[in-house]
Amino acid sequence: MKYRENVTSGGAVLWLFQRVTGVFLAAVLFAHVWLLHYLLREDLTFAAVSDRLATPLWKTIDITFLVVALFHGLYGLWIVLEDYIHVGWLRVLLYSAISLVAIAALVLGILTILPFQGEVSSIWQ
Amino acid sequence: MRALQRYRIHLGTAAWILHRLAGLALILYLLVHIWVIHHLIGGQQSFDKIMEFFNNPLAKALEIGLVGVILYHLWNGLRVTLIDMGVMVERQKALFAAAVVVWLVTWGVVAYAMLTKVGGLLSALAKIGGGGLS
Repeated sequence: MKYRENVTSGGAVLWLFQRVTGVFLAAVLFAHVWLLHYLLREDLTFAAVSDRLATPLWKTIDITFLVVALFHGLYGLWIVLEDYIHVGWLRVLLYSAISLVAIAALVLGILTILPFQGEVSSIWQ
Repeated sequence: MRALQRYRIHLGTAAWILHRLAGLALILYLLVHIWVIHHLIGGQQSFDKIMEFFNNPLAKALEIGLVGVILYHLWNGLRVTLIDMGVMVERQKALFAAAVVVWLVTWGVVAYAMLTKVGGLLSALAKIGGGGLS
């Protein structure tokens, strides 16, 4: 299949990394959707979210989740575009655009998750 | 397109195209999701206001669709990873069938849970319906 072609050259490590991050995301995303989009769905207030994010463990989990999801998603987008765009300058342009989006989303995400601190109610401990 | 022409259209190719389309949808969703959640920076009013915006039947229905897209990409991705690792290469058709069954069953279970939950889609629709009747 197509996937095999990426094994050549320096793409091999990234290709493997895409598989590893995929398996990681399968587990963490499942927990994320179950907890936030199902269990807490109607009670997803600022109070509930800031309480959860004030715990160092959840902060670590969510920032790791953010970094891995952005990498997996935007590298995946790059793999797809690479198959259809063969003009050199356009590739450079798209690659730069994806890198900028990656940095912007990463910074915005970390600024969102990081500030929470203070007393945490017992359910998250 | 040259990459596509090398393959006859069969189930594996369809699964591969769907995998890419699902992936594209998910990266777009992730970026919008980060933007929505960044309203936490603006404090309680800003965040609770934007979350209130998603507390309606349409958003809940779309969320069930989102879960379907996630689960397709997840199970098909695991199938492809297993094949890349050399697991079940001789029995690809069985593996493919298993992936489709597991996808539909897990989506069905999650959709059922989301539909029937108190405050979920059905009770939200009932509230609208009840409001219309009274």
